[in-house]
Amino acid sequence: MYIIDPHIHCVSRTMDDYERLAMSGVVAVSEPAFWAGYDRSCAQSFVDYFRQLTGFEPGRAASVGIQHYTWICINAKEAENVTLSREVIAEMPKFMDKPNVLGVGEIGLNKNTKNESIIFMEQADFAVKNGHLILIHTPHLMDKYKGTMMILDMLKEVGADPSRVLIDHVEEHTIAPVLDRGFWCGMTLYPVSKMTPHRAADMLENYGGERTCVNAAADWGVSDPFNLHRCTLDFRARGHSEQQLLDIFHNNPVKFFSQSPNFKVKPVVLGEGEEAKPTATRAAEATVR
Amino acid sequence: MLSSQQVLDRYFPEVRAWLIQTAAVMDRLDRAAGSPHAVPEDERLIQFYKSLEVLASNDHEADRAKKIQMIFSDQTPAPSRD
Ligand SMILES: [Zn+2]
Repeated sequence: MYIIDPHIHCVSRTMDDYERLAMSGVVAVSEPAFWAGYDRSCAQSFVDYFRQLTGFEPGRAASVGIQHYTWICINAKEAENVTLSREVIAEMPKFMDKPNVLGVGEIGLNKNTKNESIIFMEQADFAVKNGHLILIHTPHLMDKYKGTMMILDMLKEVGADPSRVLIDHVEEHTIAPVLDRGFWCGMTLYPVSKMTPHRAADMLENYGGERTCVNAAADWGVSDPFNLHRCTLDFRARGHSEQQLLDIFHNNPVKFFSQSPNFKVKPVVLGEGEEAKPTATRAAEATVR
Repeated sequence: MLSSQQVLDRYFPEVRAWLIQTAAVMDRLDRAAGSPHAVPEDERLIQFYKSLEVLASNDHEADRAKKIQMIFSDQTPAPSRD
């Protein structure tokens, strides 16, 4: 099994995680710029963070054979500070043509405020005008539905091409509006409180898995990069073929990311006879953890 | 695609666990000082009881997960950027 984790915050993970990801089939990761758990005091802190994402992390990943890609932006939470955000946005062009950068992200909303919306529009506009892919964070819990609808409206306003935008953290109530408008979506598997591997597998079945990526968004909080693998186990146990698994957990991210010339991984297609056939018996025998 | 028998076999243990966990939280609320009956206007409790109604629904078109998601969603208008 080949897996790409399209959303993981490697700066918060140890080398042991990288090694175990590599040992469990992860060949590439994509790391959006995000909130560090505390508000940074100046734009220079973001510049150093972008240096870490484009310089140090690719080296750590490469030491275990994983390709590391990244996204540059000011995150939705710190976007509440408009002055700081504009200083950070001014620094972004210096990093956009680093060899592992795929685009602008994860921009988005956190509490659906006016300030967050202003900075979202400015970053989306920067991405559209410069031809960058966009990766989007949607708010959590009670704010998700409203925030997702606000983001869809703003993307239309800024003239973004839906095929070049991935809207992440969709759940049962937000996946349809995202896919219906032609955007890519991401489903994030959190161990507590939000999407579970089983519900993600339900949504893959209900919506067909087109333009859909699955990630664990592991970071400094309670999270587990291997939730992604748990989803593959459940999806396989439901009787889906190895090629279907590869298409969702490897080839879909390849398809979206390959719109950036920096992305080098190619799709994996099994030859005849290579297809392991999961049987109904295997599914029936599989037990819940 | 699994048969309904297989779905039941595979997912029953976790559903059982979650239902008991929910029941235990309700019991805990009842035992707590100033039990929930004293604050029925708390929005979260209203959402909680509305969700239980969705769970109990026998409508096969119910789309229960989505319905419960919407019960827990803020649906007020977006702020103006001006
Ligand atoms: Zn993230």
